[in-house]
Amino acid sequence: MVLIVAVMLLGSAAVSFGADDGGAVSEADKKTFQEAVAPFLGMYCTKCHGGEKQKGDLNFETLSIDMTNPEVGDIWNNVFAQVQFREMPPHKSKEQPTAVHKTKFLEALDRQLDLHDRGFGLQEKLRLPEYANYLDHKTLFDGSVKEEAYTPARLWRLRPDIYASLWGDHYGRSPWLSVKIGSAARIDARNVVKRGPHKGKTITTRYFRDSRFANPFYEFVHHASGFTDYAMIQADQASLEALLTNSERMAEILTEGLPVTIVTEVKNKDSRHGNNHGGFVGGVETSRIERRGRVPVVFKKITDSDGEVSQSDFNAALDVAFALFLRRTPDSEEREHYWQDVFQKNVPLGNKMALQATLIYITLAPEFVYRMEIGMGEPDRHGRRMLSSQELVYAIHHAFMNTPAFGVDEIETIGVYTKDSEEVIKKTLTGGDPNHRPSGWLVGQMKAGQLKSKADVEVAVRKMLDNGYRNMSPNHNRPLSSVENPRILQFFREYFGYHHAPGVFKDTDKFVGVEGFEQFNKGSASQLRYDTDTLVLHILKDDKDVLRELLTTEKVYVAYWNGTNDPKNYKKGGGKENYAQSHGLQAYNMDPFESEYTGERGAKKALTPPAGQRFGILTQPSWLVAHSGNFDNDPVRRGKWIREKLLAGYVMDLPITVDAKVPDDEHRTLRERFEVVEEEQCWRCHKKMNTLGMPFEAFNHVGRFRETEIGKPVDTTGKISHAIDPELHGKVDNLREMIGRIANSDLARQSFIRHVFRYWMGRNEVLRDSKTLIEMDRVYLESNGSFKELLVSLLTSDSFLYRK
Amino acid sequence: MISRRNLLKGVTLGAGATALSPFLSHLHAAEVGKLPKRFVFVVKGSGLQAGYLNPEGLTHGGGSLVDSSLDGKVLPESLKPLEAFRDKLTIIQGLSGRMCSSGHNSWYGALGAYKSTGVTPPTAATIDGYLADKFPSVFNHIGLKMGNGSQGTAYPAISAAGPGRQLPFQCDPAMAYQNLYGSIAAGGDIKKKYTRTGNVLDAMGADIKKLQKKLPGAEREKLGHYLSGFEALRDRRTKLISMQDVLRKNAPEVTDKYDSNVTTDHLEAHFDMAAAAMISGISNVVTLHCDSLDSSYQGLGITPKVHSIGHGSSSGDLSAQECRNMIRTYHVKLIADMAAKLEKIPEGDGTMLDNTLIVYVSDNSDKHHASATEWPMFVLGNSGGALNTQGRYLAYPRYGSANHKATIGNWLTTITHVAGVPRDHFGQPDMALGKLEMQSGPLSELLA
Repeated sequence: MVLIVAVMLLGSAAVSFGADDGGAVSEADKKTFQEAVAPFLGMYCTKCHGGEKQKGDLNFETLSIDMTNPEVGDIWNNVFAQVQFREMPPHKSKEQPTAVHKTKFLEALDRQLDLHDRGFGLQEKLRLPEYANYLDHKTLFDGSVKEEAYTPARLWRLRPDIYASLWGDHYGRSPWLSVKIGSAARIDARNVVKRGPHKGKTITTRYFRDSRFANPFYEFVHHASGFTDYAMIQADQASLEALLTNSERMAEILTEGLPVTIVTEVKNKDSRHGNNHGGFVGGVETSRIERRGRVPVVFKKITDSDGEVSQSDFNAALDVAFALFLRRTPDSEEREHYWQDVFQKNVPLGNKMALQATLIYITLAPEFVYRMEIGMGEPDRHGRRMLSSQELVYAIHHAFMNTPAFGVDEIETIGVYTKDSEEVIKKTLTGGDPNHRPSGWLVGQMKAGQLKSKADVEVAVRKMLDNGYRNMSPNHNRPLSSVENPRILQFFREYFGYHHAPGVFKDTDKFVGVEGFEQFNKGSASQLRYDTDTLVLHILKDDKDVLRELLTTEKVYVAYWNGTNDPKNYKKGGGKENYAQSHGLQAYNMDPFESEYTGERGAKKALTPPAGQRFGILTQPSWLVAHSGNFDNDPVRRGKWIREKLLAGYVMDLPITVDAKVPDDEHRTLRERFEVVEEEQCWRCHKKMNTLGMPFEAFNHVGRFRETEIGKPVDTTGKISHAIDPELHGKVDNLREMIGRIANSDLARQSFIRHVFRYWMGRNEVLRDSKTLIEMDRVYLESNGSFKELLVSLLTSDSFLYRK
Repeated sequence: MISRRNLLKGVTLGAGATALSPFLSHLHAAEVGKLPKRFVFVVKGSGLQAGYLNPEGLTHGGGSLVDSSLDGKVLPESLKPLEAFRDKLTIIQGLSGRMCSSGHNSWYGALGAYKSTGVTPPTAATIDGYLADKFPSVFNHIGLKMGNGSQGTAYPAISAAGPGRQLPFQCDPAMAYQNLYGSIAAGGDIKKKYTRTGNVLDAMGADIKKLQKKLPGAEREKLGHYLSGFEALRDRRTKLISMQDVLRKNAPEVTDKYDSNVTTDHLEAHFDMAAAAMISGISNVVTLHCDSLDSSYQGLGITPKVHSIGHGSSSGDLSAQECRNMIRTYHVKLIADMAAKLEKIPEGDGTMLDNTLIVYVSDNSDKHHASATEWPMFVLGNSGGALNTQGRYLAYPRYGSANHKATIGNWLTTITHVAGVPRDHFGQPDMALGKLEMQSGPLSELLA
């Protein structure tokens, strides 16, 4: 039975629900509607959707509230979305709800829908990174929220990068040793076989250690958020299966040694060795697996013993196992637990198996998988607890690094294979490897009792930020991990998304000889992102007005060019002209012969492309390619990026009825072909993206500046609209005008700050974080746009330090 | 002959209903006439040479489609072991895969139709990972590989369950046996390791529950997901225990092949285990990675490694080409043996083989140094009649000719249709062939 609801305007706001409901709607539901939903409808909606007018055939005065009826549920769900996405009430309407009034209405309606499984799930969505902007921007920054900030006590799943650095080197490689006998290498005493059938022949060895393991915490990226590490991400069965497989292998490596494939190639008179393994032709090739490497002495004592193992021997082994994987010593309760419930239980299978079970157990334990951020300090007067010193070591270290926070002190090991010739794989477990090195400065602070207060944290954070600049221009040989505090550059990658450029497939075979595309070859996308990395790092080093610089700088850096043009290269590559036309610099419309420079070895110099073409990251070819299609520019994704990342806005999810397609027509420009989406049903959403994306038509789809498209002058006009800050609204002639206007706005800065918050907190901001955000904003402004100061502000904020 | 269904019915009567519920529904589907679908992917390295798959009188590489019955045709030498199954055989030539990486390896390309590398995480599910998800069983996916010794779990970067989720392959037959049949192992290391892992899983569950009590609500739930992972693994073990009879009946005998030093022995053990896994119903999707570039066929009397052979290395009196022929024929023989085993098991109105699709393909298209312009393969079985073939040779127009448009992406799409879990397009398009919408969809010739 469908319930008829009468909506009456009583005075200014009160609306009364009341009709024969035939029992389909509970009294409680009716009451909720009456109190929280009806007044809002009465004030802002019934003028057009009521008794007098029924725009869109919608009349709230007769609309049922019987959510058990699927059709009715859908209509209310749509009402929710229209209000949530600021589609309704219409912008031109004079009657606009306050943020608080709107929020109350939405929450009440969502709860009603939820009761019948038709909810929008707003509360749940507000935890997801892709919906973070749903939270009202103005309320976050207007100072009206007085609540003290904190983060709920939480578990944070091990970051995949940290697992890789903890695990990969020691237990995730499949090493093999290539032994070549009889090659034509220079003979000296070191590389001659001394005994056996090949005595007197040359011998060369080379050790390979390919990384081969599945990361149990495979990366999680939501396309709209870009952030890969969020505390809400869970470990599930798939994680567990991969963990288990890895752990079983680790347990054998640590008790039996590392399985190494020994490949021996013996050359005969007709055969030849290649540069790499497998280039070997003819001759005799054999391979075998041997256990090599070293194991902890305390493990060997247990695995070697046939009889009963003493608990003290076990404890010594448990200490090493805890040190390797949990980076702490077990307490007495844990010792007993591991001894009784893990080791002893498996002793019937043999001492080795029992020790292996212990090792596996540790690396499947929740503590290994989840970092606990409970807040172990004393509660304050608001009932919040500060992170303990140990929790702070993790939190601060992981804010900057992708390595384990705690190191391992030297462990006494013994070789499982003792031939002297195999020096190359005689690695100790702890020596020489940064991931297993003894604990660093931060742990020292903790041990000295100097990591307890907010002031202590500030000292630590500033110390980390002053680490210097190890690598200002990453490339494929010196990747992200070689940059100082790699998590900072990683933030800019994930925020801007330019590092996704290599993931967009371009038909490079077809670019040969095509004007504007010649410079773009198979490796270009990958190289271009390092250009942007270099640019970001230089701007961060200056640390002045960072966001505005990022958005407006006219400088560029080219990572894969040292400023010189070697005649050998252009002679080989078909002459000077060809070389110049297809050179990587052409991505920035620059000629390599006109841009030569000499600098210190490895140092990159800022280059200046032709005036009026480049303004910051959004005009870097890496960003443009990352936000392009295979054959065309993508004004929709570019506009969406600006809407979400700089304007703190959002766009409705693609309605399922829309089959978005831009027609092919080689005689029309992309802008012309995009006219199809200006039809009403598309435009409702596309107006929020396309007009922001169209000024990027100043570039072709591999990011080269252009003035014409298919022979017509490029139209770079656009429009800013539907922003929270109407001051920004209005038409723009070109990209420079648009980006300039946005870059100077409070909204863009605050939107950026919200993203900084999310990335480093691993969660969406909530209203309770308002004080933290306002303070970050203040510090950033007062420090003339210092990113370092912004980070110090966040990492010493209550949101970062307190749990409840 | 044993009817698997009857056997399993006997087993399930005494088993715990909750642990078996997915399995029972699977059986139920079988009883109402929807027979289970199974998929085997046999993947070799170093390219599968197209010319050696052509029956006498048929050629590929032309500008138009060749569609011929295999009736009365003389099968090429290396396919001779399949003589008994010629009416279930489809030879497919002329598919391209230029969207994939080429060179020595296409990595996830052969089964995923997308560009990838061996060291970066996969960007999408491959067909075996996709099907494993759609046709779950005790083990959703089983990956077995001939390694270069007994080095255990390998990650050859050919199969993925989804973005970032590479599927592991077991090289060591004893370890594989431990995983699949450890519950019935009589003793020895296999049994011990199986028990060891079981003990760990058991104890951990209790630990997690204890920790959960100390946590706030949302975080308790988060840990609950992890806990349910343990419960799923324990369920799997419970299921396997409840299937003891059927496993004992079908599990391969552990012979000296399992700890042999000869890698081809391992491959034979892997094929045995794969067939047994399907017959006993513990998996519906198996990928056998026969070799990679560093694999050795010394067991066949071939001394150089696969990579060297690809570069023209001879082995004693055998030329490199003769070595390649021997290896291919050997794989086909193993496939034929597997097919024979499946054919012995009645299912529905036919046999288990009728509901199985076995695909033989290379992870590096057609050559040792391939450019992926053609990706030869053969398919055995018709998946319950969904694949339109009763012995057929199909050669699509060669890459570069005006009529060429079929890619391995279309082929993988075809599999999803045949399996009844259709996708619009599987994998990436080859942009040189036009936009995705111009090249998406299954190969219509092959749909029944």
